[in-house]
Amino acid sequence: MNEEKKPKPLPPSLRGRRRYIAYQVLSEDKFILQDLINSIWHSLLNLLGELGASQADIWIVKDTWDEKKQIGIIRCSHDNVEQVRTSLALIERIGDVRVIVKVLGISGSIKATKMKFFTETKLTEFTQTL
Amino acid sequence: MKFYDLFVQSNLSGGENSIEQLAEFAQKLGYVGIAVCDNYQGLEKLSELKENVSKIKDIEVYSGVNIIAKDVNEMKEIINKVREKVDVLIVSGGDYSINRSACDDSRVDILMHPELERPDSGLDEPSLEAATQNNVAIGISFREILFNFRKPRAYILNHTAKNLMLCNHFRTPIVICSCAQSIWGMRSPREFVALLNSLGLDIGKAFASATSIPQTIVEQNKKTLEGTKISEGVEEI
Repeated sequence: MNEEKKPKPLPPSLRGRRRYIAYQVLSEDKFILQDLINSIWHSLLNLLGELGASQADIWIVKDTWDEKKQIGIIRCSHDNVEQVRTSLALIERIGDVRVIVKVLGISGSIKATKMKFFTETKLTEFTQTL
Repeated sequence: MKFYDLFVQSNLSGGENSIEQLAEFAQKLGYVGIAVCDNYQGLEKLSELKENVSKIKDIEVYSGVNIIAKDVNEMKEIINKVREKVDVLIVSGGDYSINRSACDDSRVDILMHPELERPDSGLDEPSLEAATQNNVAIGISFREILFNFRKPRAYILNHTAKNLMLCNHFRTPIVICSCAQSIWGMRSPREFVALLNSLGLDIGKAFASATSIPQTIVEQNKKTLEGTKISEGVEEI
């Protein structure tokens, strides 16, 4: 049994409230994911500073990056959605490639974000199948 | 909700993209209308702009002029020449005397970036009272924020936040524009709302600065150009 020991998950009342921002990158050329992550962090730290970025509780969900559609998800605290949105708008380049990071929408869970913005399936259809 | 961007620049005055490309991209980003406001370079260029603008049918495209004047006399001279010909008239601020006289002139639609290259916010109590009375909107330029970094950006954000607070206090209309010189300088309108909200403006007023206020400006000017609006409060129905 070499399972990594983890702390027990907190009860929902003690967990921070989070939002998941689905974004799309419109670019003039191709870029790599690591450059995008660096640009997002650079913009966040420039606008919010280290303290602001820590309070915003940022997590760039790498697994959800869709290379074909250039769509991804960022998690942040529910108090800092507008600031994170502004930081994304202030990304002008990824490496040497000119880009626009467009927010597609915001949701309360990764699952709902994926349903709304990553697939053609509508959320109402999903709930009907349950 | 109808979003407008009242200041984009085409390749007719130093911009990178044609009016068709700007209009197509603006539609993709969720705008219902844009105003192509090229820097004033004479009446011939203006008529060329108006001709190109009239060809676009997919979204509402308005013709406008951005006046970059050295002094107040030059500004007034250009306003006299172009006011009856354009849908949107913008004065680039920065110099205090230009800021003040633009606020005093009801023919001006938007005083853009009054804080440009200044150690202060560029607006004071008399200017804002005059702007409110004459219905001159204070423009926030996204380009200035996007293409400045670190210390200059911090100053611009500080002065913009100060101007937003003052405009809120004096009930002066606020308009946010991309001031884009290429499609890569444009952003989705909801991102502009987020920026204003992050700078301390109430979310409802932030939405108004990208929707109802620019819409009112273009609609009023359209009526004046068509001749249905005779004077303030008097319209032909």
